[in-house]
Amino acid sequence: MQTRVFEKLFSEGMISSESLHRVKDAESRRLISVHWELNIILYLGVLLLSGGLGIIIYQNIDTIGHQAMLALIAVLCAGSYYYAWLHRKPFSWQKVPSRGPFAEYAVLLGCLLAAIFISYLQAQYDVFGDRYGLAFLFPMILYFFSAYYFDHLGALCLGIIAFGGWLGISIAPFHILRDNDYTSFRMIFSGFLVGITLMTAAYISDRYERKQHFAFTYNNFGLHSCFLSHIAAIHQLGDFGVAWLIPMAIFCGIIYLMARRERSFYFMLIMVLYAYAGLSYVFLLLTSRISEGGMLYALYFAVTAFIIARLLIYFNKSMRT
Amino acid sequence: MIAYNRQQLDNLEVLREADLAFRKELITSEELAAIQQQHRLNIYKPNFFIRVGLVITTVFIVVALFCLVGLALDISDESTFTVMCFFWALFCYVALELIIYSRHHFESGVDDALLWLSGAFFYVMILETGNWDTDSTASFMTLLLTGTVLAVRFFSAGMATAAFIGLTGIFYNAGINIGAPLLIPFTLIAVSAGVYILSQQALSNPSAKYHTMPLEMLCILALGVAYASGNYFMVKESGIVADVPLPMMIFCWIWTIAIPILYIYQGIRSKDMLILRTGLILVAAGAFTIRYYYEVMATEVIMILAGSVLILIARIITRYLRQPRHGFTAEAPEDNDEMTGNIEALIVAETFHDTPQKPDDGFKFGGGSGMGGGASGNF
Repeated sequence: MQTRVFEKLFSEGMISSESLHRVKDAESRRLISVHWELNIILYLGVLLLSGGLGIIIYQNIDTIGHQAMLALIAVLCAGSYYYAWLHRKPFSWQKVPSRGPFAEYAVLLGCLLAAIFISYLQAQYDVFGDRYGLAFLFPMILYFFSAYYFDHLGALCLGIIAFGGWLGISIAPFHILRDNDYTSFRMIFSGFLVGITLMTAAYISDRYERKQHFAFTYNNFGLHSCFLSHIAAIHQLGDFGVAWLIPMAIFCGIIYLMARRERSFYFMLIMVLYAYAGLSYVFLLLTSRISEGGMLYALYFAVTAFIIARLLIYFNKSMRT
Repeated sequence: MIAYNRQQLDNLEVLREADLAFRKELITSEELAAIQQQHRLNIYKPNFFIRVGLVITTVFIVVALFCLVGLALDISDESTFTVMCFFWALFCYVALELIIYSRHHFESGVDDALLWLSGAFFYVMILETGNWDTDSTASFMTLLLTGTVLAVRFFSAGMATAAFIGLTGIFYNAGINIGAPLLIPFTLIAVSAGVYILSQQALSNPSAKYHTMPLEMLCILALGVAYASGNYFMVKESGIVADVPLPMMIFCWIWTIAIPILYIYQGIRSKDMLILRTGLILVAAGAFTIRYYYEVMATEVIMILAGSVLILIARIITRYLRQPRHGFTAEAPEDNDEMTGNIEALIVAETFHDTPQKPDDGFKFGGGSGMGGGASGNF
């Protein structure tokens, strides 16, 4: 806080001298938090350590022996979970305050080691055979259990990503566009399925107060998955893509109501941008038949972008009051 | 000198501070109400996400209009293009002044976008007029002058960055032109030091209180460039000299290793988070520089060692700061909102997620990037 602001307020008679003293006192005792710096150091440490261990294991697979390797991973994994369990807070369906960064990262390390363990089993012993789904299912269950039991958002994200993988799509933030083949209807269908399931999970979390603070994460993944599938569907349907605007409009309506209810500017912006992308795609598709028109496109974007800007300004105004 | 209404900016600051003080229960609710009554805001400052949306749409509108007129006037003609750039720079600038003056926009997204577009069109116009390259001294002069004027008038950190790039570019080119490439690192260090000292002085001056953001940006840039100028990798690989002479090499290695430590020490001593954080980042830069030239150990061994050391350091500091000491604490800051937690979880998921993979993807371990997914196949 800026003490000069309060000194000015005091001289104007807006605050009492006790208040001014309290502010000055608090300001003189103010502590500088290195919480995030420590978190980042820890994050880099875990990233480097797990990465380095991974490479060493990979390189020495022949000399160390598979059983020994599996045993080592299992012991480390159990150790991480044991540490997290020692430092746990009693379970609650509400948000549980943090147990400190070390316990948080122990949960994460446990999750990662468990995934490595299962990958190893699958790669070396082919335990799941061709049913790759199972290789996603087990870590997924563990991730979700860790997320709920230890109240861990990171584990929840891992669980959601594994859930997407189980159903055959990649929904990690920077992989969602790169790794997915959105030209197949199977993929589009999976995208919808994952998205709608996640958004249902968000609704349930919120409505029945089961880890209410997880709702945002569920919604965030679900929303992007659904919207990307909408856009892909419009693209794939070709001339019938226009018809797909109707289900997309209904979906946008639902998101609109949700964003209004939760006062989430983020969801509102995402909805507007995806809707705009879908509409523009259909417009370009239809007009490309009748004219070459670069000028038509320029005019289209100038006018529509103005309308979208007005719309955003309107949403901002109506959601604040 | 500044485009925005000072009274309104002061009111915004008072309201923010009062709100914070009220949440910490330092002032009473009656006092807060009186302050709010007395400090009315009429600026237009939408929510952050709406701001992002408005930046996107404003850029769309201006660029689309440029294309529309450009297509009508045959943009392939170079002089038409230059003249259009001039008019668009002017048009954006006038629009920017107008929305600030009459609509009271402040950090609304529209003003951010118009400021950038105006600067960019102007810069392109200047380059086109003289057929200059982006790395010519004329280009750097333009960046420096436009950036400074716009950064002062609209206190934009981005414009301060442009100005700083211009300034360092001018000195870099001067060093090349007078044929003294080995002077360049020292000149840039001196320039950065000058910028840092001046910015620090300005920051403690109450009359520059609106310009905190661009000034802090300048400090960060100056600290970074001062380090980079003497970093061995940068000096050797930038190709300013074919062979680095021995005294220079010794200086560079000392600089590469000592500066991050010095920054951290200074940051802790003066409780300046800006220099402390820069120092922490530069430790990594120094480590990579050493690693690039000396293969002391295999990468994975270094990863394990460095990872363990980092975890240990975090552990020790957390223990040490369990009780706040010397004004530092390991507790989360008070203004820690939920969004940071969500972003952290996303970053963690992005870099760590390691789902089982199909055997034909090759069998890889580890939490590094690019190992993810493996889910694009059919099931």
